[in-house]
Amino acid sequence: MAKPDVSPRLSDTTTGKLSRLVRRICLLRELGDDDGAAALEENDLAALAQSHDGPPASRELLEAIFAAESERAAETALLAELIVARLTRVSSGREALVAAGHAPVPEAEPEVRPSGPPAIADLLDAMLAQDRRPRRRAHS
Amino acid sequence: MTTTTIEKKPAATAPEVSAITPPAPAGNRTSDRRRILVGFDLGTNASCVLAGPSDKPDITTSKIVPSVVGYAREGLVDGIIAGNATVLIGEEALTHRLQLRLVAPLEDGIIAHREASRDFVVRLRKMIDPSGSAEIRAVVGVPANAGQPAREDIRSCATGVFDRVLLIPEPFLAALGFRDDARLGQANYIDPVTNSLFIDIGGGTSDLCLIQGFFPTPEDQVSIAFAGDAIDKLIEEDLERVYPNNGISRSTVRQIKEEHSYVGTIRKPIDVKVLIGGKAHTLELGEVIGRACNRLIEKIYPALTSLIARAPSDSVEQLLQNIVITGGGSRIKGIDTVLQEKLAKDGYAGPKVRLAGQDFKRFVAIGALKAARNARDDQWQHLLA
Repeated sequence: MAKPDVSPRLSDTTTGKLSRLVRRICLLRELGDDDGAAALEENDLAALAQSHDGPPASRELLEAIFAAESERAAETALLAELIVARLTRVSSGREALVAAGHAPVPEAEPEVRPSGPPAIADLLDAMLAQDRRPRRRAHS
Repeated sequence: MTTTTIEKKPAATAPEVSAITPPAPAGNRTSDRRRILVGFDLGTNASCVLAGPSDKPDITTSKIVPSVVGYAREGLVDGIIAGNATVLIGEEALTHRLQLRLVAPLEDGIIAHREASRDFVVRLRKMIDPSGSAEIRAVVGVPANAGQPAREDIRSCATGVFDRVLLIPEPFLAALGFRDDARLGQANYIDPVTNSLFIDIGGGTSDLCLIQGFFPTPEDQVSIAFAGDAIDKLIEEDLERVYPNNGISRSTVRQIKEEHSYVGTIRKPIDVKVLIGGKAHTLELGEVIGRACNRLIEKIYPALTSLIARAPSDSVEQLLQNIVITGGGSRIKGIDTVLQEKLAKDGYAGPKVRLAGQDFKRFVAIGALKAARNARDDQWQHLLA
């Protein structure tokens, strides 16, 4: 017969508040605002982890929340970068049409690269993707 | 003659400067300004800058400038330096070395003195754009695997001087610069960007890079803090041991090296005339120079073979035909044949090591300008103070 779990548990509300706060910390780190993230962590998070009615949040729980939210923030940032890059390209081609009141044309299918020498812009894309990876690792 | 009285200081801790991709910050709109693209090889001993308008293939600035900044000493008589300038760079600084305190902005390929580096970059910008009104986008070469602090130092120095930058590893830029665009697609032409191994021997670092059609990963690049300056130091130390209290300056040592450097079997005699205490002496330096230069081979060769080992087996045969040495170190006599013989002796199939040629000082900047001309708008990094 399984032993009943008698360890003190946090309410879902408290866990939700902790998750939201940790998400803000991770997003600030992703944006490069390490000072802002540190301030939130040292002040707001420490206070929230202790202040609610019930047991203090365990280190394991906080680590689990940080791991989950770091990953979410990193994925969100990656998605945002892709969207910004795509919108920049699309908007430069559509600006005139939009200004003239035409409906935006659907985005062209990605160009199939001919089997020739590698394009410099594509190589730079790869370099920038590499540059971003260690930054993320450092923040996670 | 670039380092005789040069003062080298450790880099101060750089405040972090954000490098972000568009959109551009408000109040920093650049769309109405004339745009100049720059390829910039910021070297330990010499820097190369190429620049041209973004809408034409012309090159309007092409300069190789010794990487040195001179600050006027106090109490200088009016008119000794034209315009009573207090800061000079490059040849002008060296010409007035007696009246200036000379500072080397870089050491071992990275910024060692931030204030001097910024002064250097500011004055280069004036050469590129005397009006100061153009939008400047610069691709800047960095040593292979330069760390984040070294990159931030460059961004920090470029903030407020250039509008946007892209930092790209130097050996990759050298390959891009070495690429003969007119011959791309020809059956007998191996595109260095598609399959090559570049060895860029500069003043501060020797950088090796495996390039196989995609951007090299950190594992495809090796940076060794042993290059021209380290050879100078070894020769200087050996000279001091063999000829104590000789008083020969580092810049004289460098001149001797540039004229007589070689690798391979020790060559004797190499008689070199020098002035010691104002008197002419002839020194036999064959062994001293050979020993120092051969150390470079000892450092480079293991990195070279480790990068060859990384190449997929079906690409190695062609890769071995395309090992290119560039940078100042490519002038060391016999460096191509010694490396080639070593590879052949170790069983590599038909290796061919060649020298990049006379333009060795410019390939990184040529590649940087090509990258600048091909970079999409969203790939440039804004510099925010």
